[in-house]
Amino acid sequence: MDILNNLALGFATTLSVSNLLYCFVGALLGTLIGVLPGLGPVATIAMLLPITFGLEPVSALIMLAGIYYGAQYGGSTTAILINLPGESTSVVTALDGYAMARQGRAGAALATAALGSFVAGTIATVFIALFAPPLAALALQFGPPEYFALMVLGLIASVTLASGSLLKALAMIILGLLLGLIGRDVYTTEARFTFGLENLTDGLQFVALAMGVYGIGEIIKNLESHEDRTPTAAKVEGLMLSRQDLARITPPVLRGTALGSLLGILPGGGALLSSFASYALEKRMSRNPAAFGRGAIEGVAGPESANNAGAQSSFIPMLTLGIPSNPVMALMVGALIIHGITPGPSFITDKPEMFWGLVASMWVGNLMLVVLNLPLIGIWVRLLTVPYHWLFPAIVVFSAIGVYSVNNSAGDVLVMAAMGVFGYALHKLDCEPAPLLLGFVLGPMLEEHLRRSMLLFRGDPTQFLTRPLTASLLVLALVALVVVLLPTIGQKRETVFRE
Amino acid sequence: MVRHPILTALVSRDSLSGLMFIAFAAGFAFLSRDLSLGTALRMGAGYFPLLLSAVLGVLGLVIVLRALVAGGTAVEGVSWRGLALVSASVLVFGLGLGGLGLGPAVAGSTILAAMASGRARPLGIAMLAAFLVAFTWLVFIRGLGLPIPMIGSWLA
Amino acid sequence: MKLKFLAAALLGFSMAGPIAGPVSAQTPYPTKPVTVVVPFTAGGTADIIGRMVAEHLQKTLGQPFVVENIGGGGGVSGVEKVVKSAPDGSTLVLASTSNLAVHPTLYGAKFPYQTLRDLKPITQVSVVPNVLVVNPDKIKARTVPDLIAYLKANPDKVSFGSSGIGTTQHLAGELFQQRTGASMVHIPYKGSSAMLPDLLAGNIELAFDNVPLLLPHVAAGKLAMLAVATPERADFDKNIPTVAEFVPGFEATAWHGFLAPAATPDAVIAKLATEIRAFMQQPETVKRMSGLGMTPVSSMPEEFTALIRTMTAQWKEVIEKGNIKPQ
Repeated sequence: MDILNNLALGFATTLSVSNLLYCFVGALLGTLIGVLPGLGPVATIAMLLPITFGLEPVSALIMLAGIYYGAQYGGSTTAILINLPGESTSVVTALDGYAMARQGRAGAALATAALGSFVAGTIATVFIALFAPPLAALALQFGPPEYFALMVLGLIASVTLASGSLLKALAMIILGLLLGLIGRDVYTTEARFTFGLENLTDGLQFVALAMGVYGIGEIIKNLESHEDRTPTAAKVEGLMLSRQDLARITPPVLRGTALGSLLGILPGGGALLSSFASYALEKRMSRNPAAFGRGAIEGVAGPESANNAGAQSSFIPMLTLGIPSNPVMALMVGALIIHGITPGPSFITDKPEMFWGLVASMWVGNLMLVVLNLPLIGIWVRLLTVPYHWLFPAIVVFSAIGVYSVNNSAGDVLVMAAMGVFGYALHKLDCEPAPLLLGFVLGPMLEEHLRRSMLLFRGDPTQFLTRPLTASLLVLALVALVVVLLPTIGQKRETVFRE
Repeated sequence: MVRHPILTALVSRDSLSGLMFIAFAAGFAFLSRDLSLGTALRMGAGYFPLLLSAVLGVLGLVIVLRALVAGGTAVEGVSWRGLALVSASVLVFGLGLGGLGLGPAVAGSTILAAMASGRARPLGIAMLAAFLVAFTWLVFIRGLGLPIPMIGSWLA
Repeated sequence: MKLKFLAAALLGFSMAGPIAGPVSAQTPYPTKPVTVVVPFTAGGTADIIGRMVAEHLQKTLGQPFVVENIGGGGGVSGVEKVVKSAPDGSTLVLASTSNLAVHPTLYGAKFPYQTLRDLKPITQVSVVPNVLVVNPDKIKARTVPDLIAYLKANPDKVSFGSSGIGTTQHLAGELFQQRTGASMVHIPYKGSSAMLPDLLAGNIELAFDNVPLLLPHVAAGKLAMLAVATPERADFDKNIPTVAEFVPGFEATAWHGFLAPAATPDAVIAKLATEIRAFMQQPETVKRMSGLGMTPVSSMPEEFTALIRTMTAQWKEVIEKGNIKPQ
């Protein structure tokens, strides 16, 4: 079979001593970078680029890819332990991961994230190996109208991120959409809601918003109580997963992998949606949806798997079309181009050892990450036994440095301060921040694709319905809206009755 | 102190959050006034935000009204000390990093944050600050080579 | 940069530290670390040039040259920071056409800097040629005259994409319409790589864009390359005509160059210009730059000043004629 030959070629490339070393260095650096709050893989890879000039292109690519998924691993660690999501996908992980940690199950949450990611990575690797070229063609089926419809669907599903009032969740999504519009308008270059600050013309920085609302807000909240235990160290038990846990996480991991692998192909924000989509799906499928947001292990397993699978399959548009789906991928394209290799339609046939080498290295890298991270869990969890009044000032300082380092901007640190106060206010008003963050991420894309579609349609909105894929996604969104609203209408009657 | 039930309901968590949404809606709508509106078919920069502000305003209003009817839980136990000191800590870092440099900014920020818990004693705070200054220097300046000076231009 | 040493150590190969180069007696420069501001996020072509040059200057001038990416506001924040910093050669900027010759006009009176008033050009380092490509399924024309005829027969039917308002890709499209009398609908994107899928899928039909990412698609027949937007035919394929052969005087290229705050001493400018120009002429640099789809350039400060002046005037005219202005 072709695929076996291809994978054999890939493993032959990856399993050379030097490439294994680059893979390991990448994964290790990535994990370390990921664990430092806010410090993203982009800055790291940019600094390493000049080194890669001197490497074999395939080694360079393997190392950069290692940093990329290593950082994803590391990022979920801080989200679970101290409620500090450094990127949009870990916002979802923080929901139930941090809740689990507060119940003393930080170890189990971390192990779930690690194992889920590994399984997802393995399956996604096979998936890429089997279907890369046809999937690339699928990605091109998504034009602005399709993305718009997909974003609408995503927003409706995101209502499920909240466990409290539906109305408030809706309002938080809208507020998030509005916050996302801050900055220079793509179509007219008008500066919107920037108060004349150059710092805001590129929009509020996501890391500053997320770390402020979650991390800093959480610290202020914890200072209310007079206990000095680190809130997540209440009782540290069960570092590993029980057999029962394993049974519980298997279906979500598989579903998350499927979602992530598919959505990850879409370069315009697919991988980003996958963890949110997986969370919504798991909550919908669960027999006990009320447990979500209060430490449901499925709420960690599904999104983490989806995230990792999405991260892997987003290599498909990059390698086969030369279209990077995020800044890290753009850096990798840059690293390839400087070696005179431009990813594109003939990449797989022209450079098979490179393509399959990278695919194989993803699996090897994921294996390394599990081996690397499972023993680390014990150390992370022990870190939580440090008295809180020593731990939280360190978190504040690291967050501030991390936010600063994203754009070398002191203004972003001030934004984080403001968002910390805002996050604490949201907590006091029983408003859950997760829908706000999703709205924030999707807002600009939603508007951009809507306005681009209208330009392409020359102002004729009926054309949304003449494109079959768009129409079906919009119908799906409508169905989702009904499904989301139906039980709450019932609930509303109940509440009214009780009063 | 006896308060009118409507007043109590008005300062409940639900009602206040509704008022917050209304305030945001009004603010965004106000700031959109100078933006080009365009038409539904060829939207300007102000179209989408204005539409969203309207929806947010309505949602906020409904939330307030429901809270007034249903009553609600009051906001209490705000940790003013934590709020003030932790925000001040981040602000000091953001405002001071450029001029003071990483070392003093980290120290100042640590001291302010550590005072928020009311638990740490001065000696402990000083030791923590010293430790974090050393640690951040090691990790961010030596290790990662971030382009931040250790001692800034105000002090040099 | 230290991360590099960490990585290098982990990888087990040694890297030579900065070697002090010949320092001229008259100008004791640099005496302290130099910040090279790249007003874009890390990893773009400009960033790669910036890092290559910084590494070279660090080796030959014996002080650290640290690249700082300040990507806010389409590069405005980064350039503004340099404008406001001490004019002693300790802060340089690597800026692009948009930063220098477009933004000050596009954003009008309130804009925080005027290029030649606030900055002193050191040297241009690159030209990034734009090419005219069409989706071959949607547009049958394979020559520029055929295309112009088609566009004139079908006004506003064709959409052209760009990597954003005020980029050379956008202004190239506007210039093309203004010079030929054709009329198209402009669809801006956030960057070229966001536009490419829509061009490949035929949602938009035409674009002017940088070469590297397009070439594999042209080779695979998914895009048709009609012409290059440089004054002369490009090195990568001499068979492709220039737009200017059919539309006289048409030029729409992007370029990058180094500048320092306006009051920087001329001796410092001259020294930097000499070092950077020498680096740009090294065969290894030329090879890397062409790999990135750019032509390395090494111009004198006066030549770079003249280029900025000419291009500012050209794009000012296009912006005003096309009424491309934030309201």
